Amino acid sequence: MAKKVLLIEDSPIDAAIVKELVEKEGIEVEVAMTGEEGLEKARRIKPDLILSDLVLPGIDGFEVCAQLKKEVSLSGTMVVILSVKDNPGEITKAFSVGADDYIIKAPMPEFLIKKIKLYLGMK
Amino acid sequence: MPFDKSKFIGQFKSETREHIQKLNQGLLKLERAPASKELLEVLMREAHTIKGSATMMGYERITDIAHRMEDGFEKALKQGFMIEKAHFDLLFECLDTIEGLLEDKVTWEAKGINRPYLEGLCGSVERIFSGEVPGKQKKEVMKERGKAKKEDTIPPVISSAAVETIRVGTDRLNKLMNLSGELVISKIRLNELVRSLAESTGYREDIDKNTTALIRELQKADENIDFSTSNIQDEVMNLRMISVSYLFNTFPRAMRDLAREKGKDIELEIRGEDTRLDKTIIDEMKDPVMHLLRNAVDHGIEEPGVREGRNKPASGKIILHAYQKGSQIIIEVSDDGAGIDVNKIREQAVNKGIISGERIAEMADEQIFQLLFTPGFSTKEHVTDVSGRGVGLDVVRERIAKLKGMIEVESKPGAGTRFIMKLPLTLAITESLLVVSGRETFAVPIDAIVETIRVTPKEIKTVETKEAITVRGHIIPLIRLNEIFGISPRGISEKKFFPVVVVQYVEKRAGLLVDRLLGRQEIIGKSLGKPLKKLKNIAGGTILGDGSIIFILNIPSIIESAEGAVVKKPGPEPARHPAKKKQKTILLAEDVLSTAMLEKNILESAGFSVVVARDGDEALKRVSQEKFDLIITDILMPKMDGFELTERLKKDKLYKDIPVIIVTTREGDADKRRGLKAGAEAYILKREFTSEGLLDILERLIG
Repeated sequence: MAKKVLLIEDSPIDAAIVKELVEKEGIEVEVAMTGEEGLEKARRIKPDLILSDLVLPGIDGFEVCAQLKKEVSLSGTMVVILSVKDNPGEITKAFSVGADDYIIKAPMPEFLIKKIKLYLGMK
Repeated sequence: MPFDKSKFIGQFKSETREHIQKLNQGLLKLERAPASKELLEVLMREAHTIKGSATMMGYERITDIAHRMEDGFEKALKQGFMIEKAHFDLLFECLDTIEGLLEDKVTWEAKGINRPYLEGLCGSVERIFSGEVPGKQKKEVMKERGKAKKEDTIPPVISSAAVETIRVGTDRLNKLMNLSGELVISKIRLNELVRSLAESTGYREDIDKNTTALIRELQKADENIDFSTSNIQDEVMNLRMISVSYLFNTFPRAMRDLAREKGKDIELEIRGEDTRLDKTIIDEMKDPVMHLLRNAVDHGIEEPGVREGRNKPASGKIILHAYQKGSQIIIEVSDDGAGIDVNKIREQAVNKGIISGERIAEMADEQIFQLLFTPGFSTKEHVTDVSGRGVGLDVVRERIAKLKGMIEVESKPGAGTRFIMKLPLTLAITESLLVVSGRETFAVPIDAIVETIRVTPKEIKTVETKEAITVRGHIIPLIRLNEIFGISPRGISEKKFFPVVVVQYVEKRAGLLVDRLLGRQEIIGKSLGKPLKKLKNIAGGTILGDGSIIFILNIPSIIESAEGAVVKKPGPEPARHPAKKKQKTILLAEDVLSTAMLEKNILESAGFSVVVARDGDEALKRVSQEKFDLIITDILMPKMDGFELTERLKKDKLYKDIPVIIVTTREGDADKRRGLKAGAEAYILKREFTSEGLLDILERLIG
């Protein structure tokens, strides 16, 4: 069965790019455009990995991450932050609310794909 | 794993432009309410989003600028200092630069966006927000922020509410519209077939029960199709309708810059921005509306000192208002400025020889205002003044007329001026009058018709070799439709009366003599295929319910050809178009409306006939449709620039002999070489356009 990734991203273009990249690897991608929608979809589809942006309308990525980590049903699911913010303050805060990794958005998709495949146990 | 970004570029650009627009709106509001926390938050988020996708797409220069802006807004928000009035120009410049960077490298480098400029820009933004600039005391600012109003937030460009959206190219919408048009035509045909089937069987007794039942079923199905088809048509039509805010949102920023430049204090109020209109019309209205707004700033609103002397508030008000009235959309541009002096228009019109002193004496004020839209009304002083009242209003009207719209003006000296533009909701459906001439049926668009009358052969007079009739005291040319199209008439001589359709384009009227009037009908116009595109006097075609194909008349071109044509006395032969005056025609490719109008004016006053194309693409199209003696082109244009246009023309056997003049603001030798290498016959600077030099060149090339 194909692996499922939930992508929480409010910018349609960013979402489209990541979706295209990840789907090329034979991984299913579900996109949520807000934090609330992300939480709802995470509970419903039980993804294998969650990628979340930090700046989101409504509840932000930190809050999403914190709430996901409190969900018992999602206890085994990794949450990776995907943001263009690269200052230590944001990164530290992301880990402090429970993020499993923090990937800085960059025009180098190979890195992102490699990490995702690694976390999904794909070679 | 190669990753193909190219397919995302279009989406990236259009989304980034939307974010830029929100930032523009936000900054405009922040300029008036610098203490608003909500505004800063929105601005920060928008800059952040641009930064994110620019990074993913590898647009580093955009990332750099957006990054500085985001950081700056964040600092302003968290450390609490006010962005000073003087710094807004720089922030707006950042937005313009990002927008510029969305173009290709040649274009933005031509605009002066290069590495040192970008470094300077980013550095300046950092300095503004670094606190080097003394701002207000922190506490004080925080207090003011607390007071900032809730309503300072920016409305979303697209309502991103619960409705999920996908992007669809307009070409696909057009296809859908064409298909639904064809569906409607088939539906009408089906309606008629079902009706005639029912009628022809209804009186017969030899029809068995089963057949009657089948016919009844068929009628029911036909009704259902009727219902669904009109729903589909409405929906498809609605898809093309977008809110005028797309158009209006671009103006506040431009008006701010313009008012600053002119040293005037102006408030632009926008009303009815939710009004919806066909996208094609919205796209075409940008230049005309901008022109009217610019006029209002330049010539409507007085200097602050003058206003105070007239007991008006120092700040002038311009209102841009859109609303729907029946099947029309009205767009009004009004100002509370100086108004237009009717007597001055009378004076100028007579001096310019546009109209005789006697005629003007009997004209009402409303008619006098219409003179503003006459080509050539502008005075000499105005030619050098790009947006002089009068200059270009003829072009504005022409543009609106093309959209089947109208423009009127009302003005009170001292109190202000109001331009009222009336536009159709959509261009796809035309309410028409069907007329018969010989064996052919034609459709005359209702909006071009003044009235229908009947004339007797005796009433047809011959004036200067042309046929004419008198309608309500005015002599108008009479055009026999069969003669225009070379159709043999049907027993015209025995008739006592002929129906005549009086049509109008701008202020010119003419009577169309036909054999019969059939009645009104809504038709869906379809443009004709390529081989028939060049047909003069025909605007398009449509298929009627009975399956017959008819032509839609192009009234402006018919009225125009009536002016030059010598119509013979009634006879079976078709009228022939006489050789036109040997006036040279110039194609002018220029994307900036004001410049185009200025140049058009100069060329026209030198006796040339001028056709304007707004980019290289359009110019090429025009060249294939019409014969030109000379082409004048600007360099920087959207879609296809002047170099490419010249190269293409010079490579084509058909057009390579048409002389090309390249006009530019840039004095560099490199451009000049490139222009001449592309094959241009001459290269001149914009500032030389008015000089004798140009006329010399024209004389040499096509004299």
